Amino acid sequence: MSSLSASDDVAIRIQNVHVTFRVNVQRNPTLKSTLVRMGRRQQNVREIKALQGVSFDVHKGQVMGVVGANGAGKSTLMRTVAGILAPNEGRIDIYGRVSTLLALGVGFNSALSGKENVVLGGLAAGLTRKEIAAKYEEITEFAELGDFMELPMKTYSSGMFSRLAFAVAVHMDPDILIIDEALSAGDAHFKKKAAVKMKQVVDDAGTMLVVSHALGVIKEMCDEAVWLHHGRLIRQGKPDEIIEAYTNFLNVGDDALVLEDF
Amino acid sequence: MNSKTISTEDDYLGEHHVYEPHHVGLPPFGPYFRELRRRRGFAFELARTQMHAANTDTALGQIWLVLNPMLLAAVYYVLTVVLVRSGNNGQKVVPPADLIAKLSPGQIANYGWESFAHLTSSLFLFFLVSTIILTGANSVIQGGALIMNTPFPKMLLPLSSTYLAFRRYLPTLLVYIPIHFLARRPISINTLWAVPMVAEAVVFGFGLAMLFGTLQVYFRDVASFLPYFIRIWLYLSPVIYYVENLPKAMKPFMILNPLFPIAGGYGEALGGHAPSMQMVLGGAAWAIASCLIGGLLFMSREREFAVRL
Repeated sequence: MSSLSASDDVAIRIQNVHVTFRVNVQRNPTLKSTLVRMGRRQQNVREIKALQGVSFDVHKGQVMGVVGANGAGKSTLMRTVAGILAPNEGRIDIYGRVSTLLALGVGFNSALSGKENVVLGGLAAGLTRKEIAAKYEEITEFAELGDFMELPMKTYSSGMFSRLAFAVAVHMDPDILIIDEALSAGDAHFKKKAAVKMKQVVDDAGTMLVVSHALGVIKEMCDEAVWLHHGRLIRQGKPDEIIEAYTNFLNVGDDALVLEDF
Repeated sequence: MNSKTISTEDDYLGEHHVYEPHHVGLPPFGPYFRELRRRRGFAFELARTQMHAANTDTALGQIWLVLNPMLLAAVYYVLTVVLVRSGNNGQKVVPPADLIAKLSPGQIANYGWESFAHLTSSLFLFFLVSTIILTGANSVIQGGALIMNTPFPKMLLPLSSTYLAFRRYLPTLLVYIPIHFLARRPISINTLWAVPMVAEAVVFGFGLAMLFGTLQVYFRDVASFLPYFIRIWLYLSPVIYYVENLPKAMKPFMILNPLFPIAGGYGEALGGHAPSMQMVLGGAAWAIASCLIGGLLFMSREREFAVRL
């Protein structure tokens, strides 16, 4: 496996990362219901081991795909690598500037205009006003939003929303782009444009970590892929091999996986 | 095996950073506060855009910011001056003995205006604190998508609420200044004590904003209970009454109310008296305690916010 090579060309090094959530059983936890449950001595919290000892390296300029069924820990892995969630155990080393598209963070306040959201997102990400102003034109042009940039984001269609979020993520000049592919939706025209832009980011010696359920995308874009299942890394290798193993598993089901991999 | 270089410049961006479990759940303070300082522009910009979204940066919006406290002041005027006087068979209300010693003859003759000035100034200070707490309690929840997507010191969110509340407090001073003169309240060097008392109020509120901002993530009904607690707190604080109105037996318990020294000291300062050191230091102690407790709780929990939202 390539993860044992020298560290000087490593962009992301993930070592034995464990993430455990204590999740509230209720959807909308309230003080009232917590007190009621405490009175009845009911357990309110469940522990979920989202990642269990995941280790792999992503090298500079590499596009790493992450596949796995729902609940495999893909999003948790992405958020932990981005520094949004803290690992309970293990260590992650990041070499470079990270930009993320994990949630539609750019539109976090829909009462504000697209422009205000871009500025706020940039400031929160640690850019200066000058840097944001320099990128703003490019972002607007790429997202093809025109005058809509001045309107509150609640007036946007979902496609416009994700176009803007994608435009912001790729225009931050990242060394490492972490992207949840499902969010970079848009119409066919924009999808094509997005693919070209992502390729450009990688060509500029960028590194990318992509989650996708569209296995075609993984096959086409990635140099390497990892397959996660129930928080464990099942296999790492060439995208073709991983996709084959993963689709076999999807067709056959859990039993085969247990026999094959544990 | 792994590189030993530890990031020194940037906990979130920069060339190399390490994510590891936090010691007792707290991030390293140095990088955290450096980043907080570096990104403070976000807090101010968020407050500014929120004022924009609420139209408070338009001419009419600005007028409303002044009109709203004026109308409130009018309501409380009716409550405390007009109604109390009519309850007193139309006789002028006489200030309590302790207070008479502190007021000038002009203020005593004009006691209706004097108590109105005390009421409005204290009320506006109380609204400053309660607005910080109420907006701060919702600040984390409202930052949802941003928290899910971007690593940043989340303390920027309650900090922004605090700044927003302070910006909304400033126009109330415009309402208060003419009332101050109408009540023939003095202006002296002691009036300047109002500045540190407001600072204590802001710091105290910021601590509670962090505390309730965190609690709101875990218990979504906290913000619904808050207005009731705040209303009770208003009546327990020297806002609609003077410190001197309090029965002697009650005074020792008042140290338990953080707003007692803060609002009390502020009232003294605007009345032209230097607040007692007990009030200044008591208020400062509450402000620091609130910031420490709220801040430590917030920082120890903030990396969990992304999971809970």
